[in-house]
Amino acid sequence: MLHISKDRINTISNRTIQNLTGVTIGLTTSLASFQRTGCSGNCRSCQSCTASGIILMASILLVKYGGGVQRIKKRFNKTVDEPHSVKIGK
Amino acid sequence: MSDGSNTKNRVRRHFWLRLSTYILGIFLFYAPFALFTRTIKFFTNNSTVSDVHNLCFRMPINWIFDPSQWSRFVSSPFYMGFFVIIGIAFLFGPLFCGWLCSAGAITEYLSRLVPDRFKIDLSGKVNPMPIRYGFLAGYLLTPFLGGSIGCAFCNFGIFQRFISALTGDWQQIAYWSTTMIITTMIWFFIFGLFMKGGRGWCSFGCPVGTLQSLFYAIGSKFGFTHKLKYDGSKCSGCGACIKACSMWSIKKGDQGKGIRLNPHTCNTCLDCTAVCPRGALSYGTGAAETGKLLQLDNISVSDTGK
Repeated sequence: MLHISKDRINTISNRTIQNLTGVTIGLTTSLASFQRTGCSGNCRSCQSCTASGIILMASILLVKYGGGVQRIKKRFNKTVDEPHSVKIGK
Repeated sequence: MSDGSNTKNRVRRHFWLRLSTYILGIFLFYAPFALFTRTIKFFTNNSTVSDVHNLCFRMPINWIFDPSQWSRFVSSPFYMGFFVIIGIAFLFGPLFCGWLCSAGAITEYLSRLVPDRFKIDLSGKVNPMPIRYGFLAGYLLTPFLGGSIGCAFCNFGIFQRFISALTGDWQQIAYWSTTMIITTMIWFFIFGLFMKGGRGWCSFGCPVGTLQSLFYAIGSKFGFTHKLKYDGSKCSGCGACIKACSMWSIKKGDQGKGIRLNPHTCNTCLDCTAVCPRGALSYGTGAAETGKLLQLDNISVSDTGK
Protein backbone atom coordinates (compact mmCIF):
# COMPACT_ATOMS: atom_id res chain seq x y z
CA MET A 1 0.00 0.00 0.00
CA LEU A 2 2.80 2.34 1.03
CA HIS A 3 4.68 1.33 -2.14
CA ILE A 4 1.68 2.28 -4.33
CA SER A 5 1.28 5.67 -2.70
CA LYS A 6 5.04 6.30 -3.07
CA ASP A 7 4.76 5.47 -6.79
CA ARG A 8 1.82 7.79 -7.11
CA ILE A 9 3.68 10.59 -5.34
CA ASN A 10 6.66 10.03 -7.67
CA THR A 11 4.37 10.16 -10.71
CA ILE A 12 2.68 13.33 -9.51
CA SER A 13 5.98 15.02 -8.69
CA ASN A 14 7.44 14.00 -12.08
CA ARG A 15 4.40 15.41 -13.82
CA THR A 16 4.64 18.62 -11.77
CA ILE A 17 8.32 19.00 -12.65
CA GLN A 18 7.55 18.41 -16.34
CA ASN A 19 4.73 20.96 -16.26
CA LEU A 20 6.81 23.55 -14.43
CA THR A 21 9.69 23.04 -16.88
CA GLY A 22 7.27 23.49 -19.77
CA VAL A 23 5.72 26.64 -18.31
CA THR A 24 9.21 28.08 -17.67
CA ILE A 25 10.25 27.38 -21.28
CA GLY A 26 7.08 29.00 -22.60
CA LEU A 27 7.35 32.01 -20.33
CA THR A 28 11.04 32.58 -21.11
CA THR A 29 10.35 32.26 -24.81
CA SER A 30 7.55 34.80 -24.83
CA LEU A 31 9.36 37.29 -22.61
CA ALA A 32 12.48 37.04 -24.80
CA SER A 33 10.58 38.96 -27.45
CA PHE A 34 9.42 41.65 -25.01
CA GLN A 35 9.62 45.15 -26.45
CA ARG A 36 8.88 48.41 -24.71
CA THR A 37 8.40 50.30 -27.95
CA GLY A 38 6.42 47.65 -29.79
CA CYS A 39 7.08 45.99 -33.12
CA SER A 40 7.05 48.15 -36.26
CA GLY A 41 6.35 45.14 -38.44
CA ASN A 42 9.19 46.20 -40.71
CA CYS A 43 12.17 44.88 -38.87
CA ARG A 44 15.75 45.81 -39.62
CA SER A 45 17.79 45.26 -36.53
CA CYS A 46 15.59 44.09 -33.65
CA GLN A 47 15.94 40.34 -33.30
CA SER A 48 13.76 39.78 -30.27
CA CYS A 49 11.39 37.40 -32.00
CA THR A 50 14.31 35.55 -33.51
CA ALA A 51 15.74 35.18 -30.01
CA SER A 52 12.34 33.95 -28.89
CA GLY A 53 12.17 31.37 -31.65
CA ILE A 54 15.68 30.13 -31.02
CA ILE A 55 15.04 29.79 -27.27
CA LEU A 56 11.85 27.83 -27.94
CA MET A 57 13.52 25.56 -30.45
CA ALA A 58 16.59 24.97 -28.30
CA SER A 59 14.55 24.31 -25.14
CA ILE A 60 12.26 21.84 -26.85
CA LEU A 61 15.14 19.96 -28.40
CA LEU A 62 16.92 20.01 -25.04
CA VAL A 63 13.84 18.51 -23.36
CA LYS A 64 13.64 15.85 -26.06
CA TYR A 65 17.30 14.95 -26.27
CA GLY A 66 17.85 15.62 -22.55
CA GLY A 67 15.55 12.65 -21.95
CA GLY A 68 17.55 10.76 -24.55
CA VAL A 69 20.79 11.42 -22.70
CA GLN A 70 19.25 10.10 -19.49
CA ARG A 71 18.14 6.95 -21.33
CA ILE A 72 21.64 6.43 -22.69
CA LYS A 73 23.09 6.92 -19.20
CA LYS A 74 20.61 4.41 -17.78
CA ARG A 75 21.50 1.93 -20.50
CA PHE A 76 25.19 2.46 -19.89
CA ASN A 77 24.74 1.85 -16.14
CA LYS A 78 22.74 -1.29 -16.91
CA THR A 79 25.49 -2.53 -19.21
CA VAL A 80 28.09 -2.00 -16.50
CA ASP A 81 26.00 -3.69 -13.80
CA GLU A 82 24.66 -6.56 -15.88
CA PRO A 83 27.06 -7.30 -18.76
CA HIS A 84 25.24 -10.54 -19.69
CA SER A 85 22.02 -8.71 -20.40
CA VAL A 86 23.52 -7.02 -23.47
CA LYS A 87 23.07 -9.03 -26.63
CA ILE A 88 25.95 -9.20 -29.09
CA GLY A 89 25.16 -7.55 -32.38
CA LYS A 90 22.52 -5.25 -30.93
CA MET B 1 -18.37 -1.24 -50.20
CA SER B 2 -15.89 -2.44 -47.59
CA ASP B 3 -15.12 -0.63 -44.33
CA GLY B 4 -11.58 0.07 -45.54
CA SER B 5 -12.64 1.88 -48.71
CA ASN B 6 -15.37 3.72 -46.74
CA THR B 7 -12.73 5.06 -44.36
CA LYS B 8 -10.44 5.95 -47.26
CA ASN B 9 -13.22 7.92 -48.97
CA ARG B 10 -14.12 9.65 -45.72
CA VAL B 11 -10.49 10.65 -45.12
CA ARG B 12 -10.15 11.93 -48.68
CA ARG B 13 -13.38 13.93 -48.42
CA HIS B 14 -12.29 15.37 -45.07
CA PHE B 15 -8.87 16.30 -46.47
CA TRP B 16 -10.32 18.28 -49.37
CA LEU B 17 -13.05 19.85 -47.25
CA ARG B 18 -10.56 21.17 -44.74
CA LEU B 19 -8.15 22.33 -47.46
CA SER B 20 -10.97 24.24 -49.12
CA THR B 21 -11.96 26.00 -45.88
CA TYR B 22 -8.33 27.04 -45.38
CA ILE B 23 -8.23 28.47 -48.90
CA LEU B 24 -11.50 30.23 -48.07
CA GLY B 25 -9.68 31.63 -45.00
CA ILE B 26 -7.09 33.23 -47.30
CA PHE B 27 -9.81 34.88 -49.36
CA LEU B 28 -11.71 36.04 -46.26
CA PHE B 29 -8.88 37.53 -44.20
CA TYR B 30 -5.75 38.13 -46.30
CA ALA B 31 -5.00 41.02 -48.66
CA PRO B 32 -5.47 41.65 -51.53
CA PHE B 33 -8.75 39.75 -51.09
CA ALA B 34 -9.80 40.22 -47.42
CA LEU B 35 -13.44 39.75 -48.43
CA PHE B 36 -14.73 39.50 -44.86
CA THR B 37 -12.93 42.67 -43.77
CA ARG B 38 -13.95 44.57 -46.89
CA THR B 39 -17.61 43.58 -46.42
CA ILE B 40 -17.66 44.93 -42.86
CA LYS B 41 -15.79 48.06 -43.91
CA PHE B 42 -18.24 48.63 -46.75
CA PHE B 43 -21.17 48.67 -44.33
CA THR B 44 -19.34 50.82 -41.77
CA ASN B 45 -18.02 53.33 -44.36
CA ASN B 46 -14.43 52.61 -43.36
CA SER B 47 -11.94 53.18 -46.17
CA THR B 48 -8.68 52.03 -44.49
CA VAL B 49 -6.46 49.33 -45.99
CA SER B 50 -7.83 45.81 -45.59
CA ASP B 51 -5.49 43.00 -44.69
CA VAL B 52 -5.05 40.41 -41.95
CA HIS B 53 -3.96 43.06 -39.42
CA ASN B 54 -7.49 44.44 -39.24
CA LEU B 55 -8.63 41.25 -37.60
CA CYS B 56 -5.66 40.83 -35.28
CA PHE B 57 -6.43 38.30 -32.56
CA ARG B 58 -3.07 38.65 -30.83
CA MET B 59 -2.96 42.28 -29.75
CA PRO B 60 -6.32 41.99 -27.91
CA ILE B 61 -4.66 39.35 -25.68
CA ASN B 62 -2.16 42.04 -24.66
CA TRP B 63 -4.99 44.47 -23.95
CA ILE B 64 -7.13 42.27 -21.72
CA PHE B 65 -5.36 43.36 -18.52
CA ASP B 66 -4.60 46.89 -19.69
CA PRO B 67 -7.64 49.12 -19.05
CA SER B 68 -6.05 52.02 -20.95
CA GLN B 69 -6.39 49.92 -24.13
CA TRP B 70 -9.99 48.82 -23.68
CA SER B 71 -11.27 51.78 -25.71
CA ARG B 72 -9.68 50.14 -28.77
CA PHE B 73 -12.28 47.38 -28.64
CA VAL B 74 -14.99 50.03 -28.97
CA SER B 75 -13.22 52.24 -31.53
CA SER B 76 -12.46 49.35 -33.86
CA PRO B 77 -15.15 46.64 -33.89
CA PHE B 78 -12.76 44.30 -35.72
CA TYR B 79 -10.99 43.62 -32.45
CA MET B 80 -14.25 42.20 -31.12
CA GLY B 81 -13.58 39.29 -33.47
CA PHE B 82 -11.23 38.03 -30.80
CA PHE B 83 -14.16 37.60 -28.39
CA VAL B 84 -16.21 35.93 -31.11
CA ILE B 85 -13.62 33.20 -31.71
CA ILE B 86 -13.24 32.71 -27.95
CA GLY B 87 -17.02 32.28 -27.64
CA ILE B 88 -17.03 29.82 -30.55
CA ALA B 89 -14.16 27.92 -28.91
CA PHE B 90 -16.16 27.58 -25.69
CA LEU B 91 -19.25 26.29 -27.46
CA PHE B 92 -17.81 24.37 -30.42
CA GLY B 93 -14.03 24.10 -29.94
CA PRO B 94 -11.18 26.01 -31.59
CA LEU B 95 -12.76 25.75 -35.04
CA PHE B 96 -10.86 28.81 -36.26
CA CYS B 97 -7.55 26.93 -35.80
CA GLY B 98 -8.78 23.67 -37.25
CA TRP B 99 -10.71 25.03 -40.22
CA LEU B 100 -9.87 28.66 -41.09
CA CYS B 101 -6.37 29.62 -39.94
CA SER B 102 -4.40 29.42 -43.17
CA ALA B 103 -1.15 30.42 -41.43
CA GLY B 104 -1.26 27.18 -39.41
CA ALA B 105 -2.60 25.10 -42.29
CA ILE B 106 0.11 26.03 -44.79
CA THR B 107 2.82 24.29 -42.75
CA GLU B 108 0.58 21.33 -41.88
CA TYR B 109 -0.36 20.63 -45.48
CA LEU B 110 3.10 21.24 -46.93
CA SER B 111 4.67 19.02 -44.25
CA ARG B 112 2.67 16.11 -45.68
CA LEU B 113 4.90 16.32 -48.74
CA VAL B 114 8.06 15.88 -46.64
CA PRO B 115 9.05 12.24 -45.97
CA ASP B 116 8.72 11.22 -42.30
CA ARG B 117 12.39 10.33 -41.98
CA PHE B 118 13.33 14.01 -42.40
CA LYS B 119 10.97 15.22 -39.66
CA ILE B 120 11.57 15.96 -35.98
CA ASP B 121 9.22 13.73 -34.04
CA LEU B 122 8.31 15.25 -30.67
CA SER B 123 4.93 13.56 -30.28
CA GLY B 124 4.80 11.65 -27.03
CA LYS B 125 8.23 13.03 -26.06
CA VAL B 126 7.58 16.69 -25.34
CA ASN B 127 4.28 17.79 -23.84
CA PRO B 128 3.25 21.01 -25.60
CA MET B 129 0.50 21.90 -23.12
CA PRO B 130 2.60 23.55 -20.34
CA ILE B 131 4.86 25.26 -22.91
CA ARG B 132 1.95 26.89 -24.72
CA TYR B 133 0.34 27.97 -21.45
CA GLY B 134 3.67 29.43 -20.32
CA PHE B 135 3.89 31.31 -23.61
CA LEU B 136 0.37 32.65 -23.11
CA ALA B 137 1.26 33.70 -19.55
CA GLY B 138 4.06 35.83 -21.03
CA TYR B 139 1.52 37.51 -23.30
CA LEU B 140 -0.76 38.31 -20.41
CA LEU B 141 2.17 39.51 -18.29
CA THR B 142 3.74 42.04 -20.67
CA PRO B 143 1.21 44.88 -20.18
CA PHE B 144 2.24 44.89 -16.50
CA LEU B 145 5.87 45.26 -17.59
CA GLY B 146 4.98 48.23 -19.77
CA GLY B 147 5.50 46.75 -23.20
CA SER B 148 4.19 44.33 -25.77
CA ILE B 149 5.03 41.11 -27.53
CA GLY B 150 1.89 41.02 -29.65
CA CYS B 151 3.62 41.39 -33.00
CA ALA B 152 6.72 39.34 -32.30
CA PHE B 153 6.85 36.03 -34.13
CA CYS B 154 3.53 36.78 -35.82
CA ASN B 155 2.92 34.06 -38.35
CA PHE B 156 -0.25 35.84 -39.52
CA GLY B 157 1.91 38.82 -40.54
CA ILE B 158 4.51 36.61 -42.19
CA PHE B 159 1.84 34.75 -44.13
CA GLN B 160 0.19 38.04 -45.19
CA ARG B 161 3.48 39.22 -46.74
CA PHE B 162 3.86 35.86 -48.43
CA ILE B 163 0.38 36.10 -50.00
CA SER B 164 0.90 39.77 -50.93
CA ALA B 165 4.17 38.98 -52.69
CA LEU B 166 2.58 36.08 -54.57
CA THR B 167 -0.36 38.21 -55.70
CA GLY B 168 1.69 41.01 -57.22
CA ASP B 169 2.74 43.29 -54.37
CA TRP B 170 6.42 42.62 -55.00
CA GLN B 171 7.54 45.27 -52.50
CA GLN B 172 6.75 42.71 -49.84
CA ILE B 173 9.72 40.72 -51.12
CA ALA B 174 11.93 43.30 -49.39
CA TYR B 175 10.69 41.83 -46.15
CA TRP B 176 12.68 38.67 -46.83
CA SER B 177 15.90 40.66 -46.62
CA THR B 178 15.22 41.67 -43.02
CA THR B 179 16.15 39.75 -39.91
CA MET B 180 12.58 38.40 -39.92
CA ILE B 181 13.87 35.78 -42.33
CA ILE B 182 15.31 33.85 -39.38
CA THR B 183 11.95 33.90 -37.62
CA THR B 184 10.31 32.72 -40.82
CA MET B 185 12.78 29.91 -41.19
CA ILE B 186 12.04 28.76 -37.63
CA TRP B 187 8.25 28.98 -38.04
CA PHE B 188 7.99 27.66 -41.58
CA PHE B 189 10.74 25.06 -41.79
CA ILE B 190 11.76 23.85 -38.33
CA PHE B 191 8.38 24.08 -36.57
CA GLY B 192 6.50 23.51 -39.81
CA LEU B 193 7.66 21.44 -42.71
CA PHE B 194 10.24 19.44 -40.82
CA MET B 195 8.20 18.66 -37.71
CA LYS B 196 5.77 15.74 -37.38
CA GLY B 197 2.28 17.07 -37.95
CA GLY B 198 3.60 20.37 -39.31
CA ARG B 199 2.07 22.42 -36.52
CA GLY B 200 4.97 23.00 -34.15
CA TRP B 201 4.27 26.70 -33.78
CA CYS B 202 0.54 26.07 -33.20
CA SER B 203 1.36 23.43 -30.59
CA PHE B 204 3.99 25.33 -28.64
CA GLY B 205 3.54 29.02 -29.19
CA CYS B 206 0.38 30.41 -30.75
CA PRO B 207 -1.33 32.41 -27.98
CA VAL B 208 -4.56 32.69 -29.97
CA GLY B 209 -4.82 28.92 -30.26
CA THR B 210 -3.88 28.44 -26.61
CA LEU B 211 -6.58 30.79 -25.38
CA GLN B 212 -9.13 29.05 -27.58
CA SER B 213 -7.99 25.66 -26.30
CA LEU B 214 -8.34 26.88 -22.71
CA PHE B 215 -11.94 27.92 -23.33
CA TYR B 216 -12.59 24.70 -25.24
CA ALA B 217 -11.24 22.66 -22.31
CA ILE B 218 -13.53 24.55 -19.92
CA GLY B 219 -16.50 24.28 -22.29
CA SER B 220 -15.98 20.56 -22.86
CA LYS B 221 -16.86 19.92 -19.20
CA PHE B 222 -20.44 20.92 -19.98
CA GLY B 223 -22.89 18.63 -21.71
CA PHE B 224 -24.46 21.27 -23.96
CA THR B 225 -21.23 22.21 -25.76
CA HIS B 226 -19.86 20.53 -28.89
CA LYS B 227 -16.70 18.55 -28.36
CA LEU B 228 -14.62 15.64 -29.56
CA LYS B 229 -16.15 12.48 -28.04
CA TYR B 230 -14.61 9.11 -27.48
CA ASP B 231 -16.53 5.85 -27.12
CA GLY B 232 -14.15 3.31 -25.61
CA SER B 233 -16.42 0.36 -26.40
CA LYS B 234 -16.02 0.96 -30.15
CA CYS B 235 -12.24 1.49 -30.07
CA SER B 236 -10.24 -1.31 -31.68
CA GLY B 237 -6.89 0.16 -30.67
CA CYS B 238 -5.62 0.59 -34.22
CA GLY B 239 -3.95 3.89 -33.27
CA ALA B 240 -5.01 5.61 -36.51
CA CYS B 241 -6.23 8.68 -34.59
CA ILE B 242 -2.91 9.04 -32.75
CA LYS B 243 -1.05 8.98 -36.06
CA ALA B 244 -3.49 11.39 -37.71
CA CYS B 245 -3.46 14.05 -34.98
CA SER B 246 -1.27 16.93 -36.13
CA MET B 247 -1.43 18.59 -32.69
CA TRP B 248 -0.30 15.45 -30.79
CA SER B 249 -3.35 15.76 -28.55
CA ILE B 250 -4.29 12.07 -28.60
CA LYS B 251 -2.26 9.69 -26.52
CA LYS B 252 -2.45 6.09 -25.41
CA GLY B 253 -4.41 5.83 -22.19
CA ASP B 254 -3.00 4.80 -18.84
CA GLN B 255 -1.66 1.22 -18.85
CA GLY B 256 -2.27 1.02 -22.59
CA LYS B 257 -6.04 1.17 -22.19
CA GLY B 258 -7.91 3.16 -24.79
CA ILE B 259 -6.80 6.66 -25.69
CA ARG B 260 -6.66 9.99 -23.89
CA LEU B 261 -7.88 13.16 -25.55
CA ASN B 262 -6.28 16.41 -24.50
CA PRO B 263 -8.61 19.36 -25.13
CA HIS B 264 -5.81 21.75 -24.13
CA THR B 265 -3.96 21.06 -27.38
CA CYS B 266 -6.78 19.91 -29.70
CA ASN B 267 -7.72 22.23 -32.59
CA THR B 268 -10.91 20.31 -33.55
CA CYS B 269 -9.73 19.65 -37.08
CA LEU B 270 -11.59 16.34 -36.69
CA ASP B 271 -9.01 14.38 -38.72
CA CYS B 272 -9.24 11.73 -35.99
CA THR B 273 -12.99 11.23 -36.50
CA ALA B 274 -12.39 10.82 -40.23
CA VAL B 275 -9.66 8.19 -39.89
CA CYS B 276 -11.36 6.15 -37.14
CA PRO B 277 -12.61 3.01 -38.91
CA ARG B 278 -15.09 2.09 -36.15
CA GLY B 279 -16.60 5.46 -35.30
CA ALA B 280 -15.14 5.51 -31.79
CA LEU B 281 -14.42 9.21 -32.15
CA SER B 282 -17.16 11.65 -32.95
CA TYR B 283 -17.99 15.32 -32.61
CA GLY B 284 -21.10 16.54 -30.84
CA THR B 285 -22.76 17.37 -27.54
CA GLY B 286 -22.85 15.13 -24.46
CA ALA B 287 -20.15 13.49 -22.35
CA ALA B 288 -16.59 13.58 -23.70
CA GLU B 289 -15.85 9.95 -22.86
CA THR B 290 -18.19 6.98 -22.80
CA GLY B 291 -17.94 3.20 -23.00
CA LYS B 292 -15.59 0.67 -21.48
CA LEU B 293 -11.96 1.17 -22.45
CA LEU B 294 -10.20 -1.56 -24.39
CA GLN B 295 -6.56 -2.57 -24.26
CA LEU B 296 -4.31 -1.09 -26.93
CA ASP B 297 -1.62 -3.63 -27.66
CA ASN B 298 -0.51 -2.84 -31.14
CA ILE B 299 0.76 0.72 -30.89
CA SER B 300 4.40 1.36 -30.23
CA VAL B 301 5.69 4.73 -29.09
CA SER B 302 7.60 5.23 -32.33
CA ASP B 303 4.35 4.86 -34.28
CA THR B 304 2.63 7.75 -32.59
CA GLY B 305 3.82 10.42 -34.98
CA LYS B 306 2.05 11.49 -38.10
